[in-house]
Amino acid sequence: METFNYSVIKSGMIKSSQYPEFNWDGTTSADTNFLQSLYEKMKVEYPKYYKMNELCQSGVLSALLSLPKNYEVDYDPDKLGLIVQNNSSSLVSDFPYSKEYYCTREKIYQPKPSLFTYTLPNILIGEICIKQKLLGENFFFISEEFDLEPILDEVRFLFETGVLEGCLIGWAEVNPDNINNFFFFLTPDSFNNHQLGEQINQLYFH
Amino acid sequence: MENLLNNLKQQIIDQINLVGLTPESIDNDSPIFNEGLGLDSIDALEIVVLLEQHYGILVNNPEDLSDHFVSIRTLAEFIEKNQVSAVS
Amino acid sequence: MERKSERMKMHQVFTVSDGLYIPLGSDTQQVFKEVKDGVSSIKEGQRFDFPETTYVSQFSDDPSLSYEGSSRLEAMAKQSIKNSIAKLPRKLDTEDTGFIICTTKGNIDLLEPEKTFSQQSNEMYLFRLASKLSTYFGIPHKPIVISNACTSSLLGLIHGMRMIMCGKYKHVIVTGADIVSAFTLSGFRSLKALSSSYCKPFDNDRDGINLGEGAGTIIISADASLSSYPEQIILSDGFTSNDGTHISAPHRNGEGLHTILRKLVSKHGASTSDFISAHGTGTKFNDAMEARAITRSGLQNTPIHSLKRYFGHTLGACGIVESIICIQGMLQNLLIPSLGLNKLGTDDYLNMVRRPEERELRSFIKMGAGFGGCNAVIRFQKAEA
Repeated sequence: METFNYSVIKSGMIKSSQYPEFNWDGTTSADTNFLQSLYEKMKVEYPKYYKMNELCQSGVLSALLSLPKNYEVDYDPDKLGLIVQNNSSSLVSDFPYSKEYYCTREKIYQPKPSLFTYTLPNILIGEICIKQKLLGENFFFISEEFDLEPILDEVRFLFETGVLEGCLIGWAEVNPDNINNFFFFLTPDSFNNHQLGEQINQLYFH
Repeated sequence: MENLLNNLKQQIIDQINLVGLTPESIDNDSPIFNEGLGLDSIDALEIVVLLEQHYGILVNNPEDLSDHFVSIRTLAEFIEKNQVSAVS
Repeated sequence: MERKSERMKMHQVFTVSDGLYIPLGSDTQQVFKEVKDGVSSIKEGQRFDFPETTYVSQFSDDPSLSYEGSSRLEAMAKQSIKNSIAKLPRKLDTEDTGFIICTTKGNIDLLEPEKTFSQQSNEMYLFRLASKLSTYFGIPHKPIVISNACTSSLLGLIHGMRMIMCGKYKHVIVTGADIVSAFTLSGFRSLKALSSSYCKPFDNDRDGINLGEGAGTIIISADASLSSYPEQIILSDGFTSNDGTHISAPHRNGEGLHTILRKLVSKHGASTSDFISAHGTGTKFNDAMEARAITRSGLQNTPIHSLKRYFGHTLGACGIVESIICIQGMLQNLLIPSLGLNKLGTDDYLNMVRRPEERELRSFIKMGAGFGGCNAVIRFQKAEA
């Protein structure tokens, strides 16, 4: 049994340990845009959502599906951290931004400023922190594949020194063809579970 | 003026990607920032881009615009006064 | 909590060496000499295909930057790492050495807009540039990459410091690097964040940033005997936080920065540091936010400067690049003035350093903030004699 909350949002699968009502195995729906349909089902009603790139949109939903239900009451926001990792940084937005820049440079030389703001991977951290009020430590790591080692090293330090009391962790890899998000929430108690790394790897790689 | 107001609203909806809103649902005199349409500083810059693209109005310092960034109507009045050439 | 901190045996972390490679100079001593003389590498000029002149600190075809097999960014990063390793009194045992590379945009100058996403070259991936560098320097461990906007290299130092404290590594090489490109320049231009002239951090007439490029490397270690400095320097603390208010505008009250400055003050007292090196980008909102956070933390009388007018805003590299200058300042007991300041223009009073001043310096705080609402602070000090 897992001792922590987690969620998976992938092209073709949605799974949440706390909100099984949104689980989806990818076979039953003909939705062309499963993310939009998840957003609607979850009744998030967050106008800012539509301004975000897909990396942030899916990340915000992953955070909602992974944070414990009463976390606002149970934790001091300054002691809630967020660590995210992915493969392609913000390439999913870098590419359209640079296209827009090349297209407009002759005429008015004015690419869309909102496109540019999404050309940093940690904007995802910013969007989640705004929505969920996580105000503690934050790190965005880049790795070819999901690599727990630096993340768990950092979280261990933050828990043992009392800097954090809870930490949302995410692998958030989004490219034009695929979404692959795996988020989970750890506390010092769940961290002391000896099979933690094994459990996380099993859930992610199943 | 009515035409300009409606075009401007549609352009703002498109530029900022305000999904679910129509020109009819936006009041001409409600505040556009914070409480009203809920736009923020990046959206203000998007509107600056829009003014340049559609109305040929060059704005170097968005802060100079704050008196006109009150409602759709004040923005339209500003456009009417400063428009170089109607591109669209 | 006391009980918990006893469980982990904490090692002390020493800053043992550094290396710089920026347009102002090709190593620390050279850069520091220019800074002392009040020289700046920011130049007015026509760049890329911009319609107006821009003010940027950028390498002009530098013959010592060899591009063979390396991108511009990799060449700069390599040079800063080489410089830092060369100063060590003996060879690093690479088995015990971690490597952290910090950058916002990596090789963004190699992005090809006419190709599709999947056709982009490997060079676009930050982990690839990191593994190229770690292979070059013979470090067997998988390199760690941090991309966290303008706090990237402060976060790299913080992560590295913690990994030495908890005994994961004996030594960590932390490198920050970013380049000036049409991509970032046009982006900051679209946000109306570029200064129309030379940047003026904390000044009443400040109107934006000047971009800069370059690389900086700091080597930290649990082993003080590796130090290349005349006095031992400790990296004592570091914290990060998030404002949770806006993705591109800083918190008006400097809330996130205040939270972590307060942590330093509660541990070390209001005289926690002999000077502060601000982020000080020269935008209206950033500088006002920092002034607010400093005042709220009771640090308004601590001498403070911004280094951005000397070599521009080097984005993900700025935390490390500026820390290196401050370490030299601390070693030479010299307060470095805030270049570009005429009349203080923040609502909150700051004790700005206006001219070079010799006085005993034993500690300093380097602060940073960036898009995504991120904030970071680190604190260096001389070891007690």
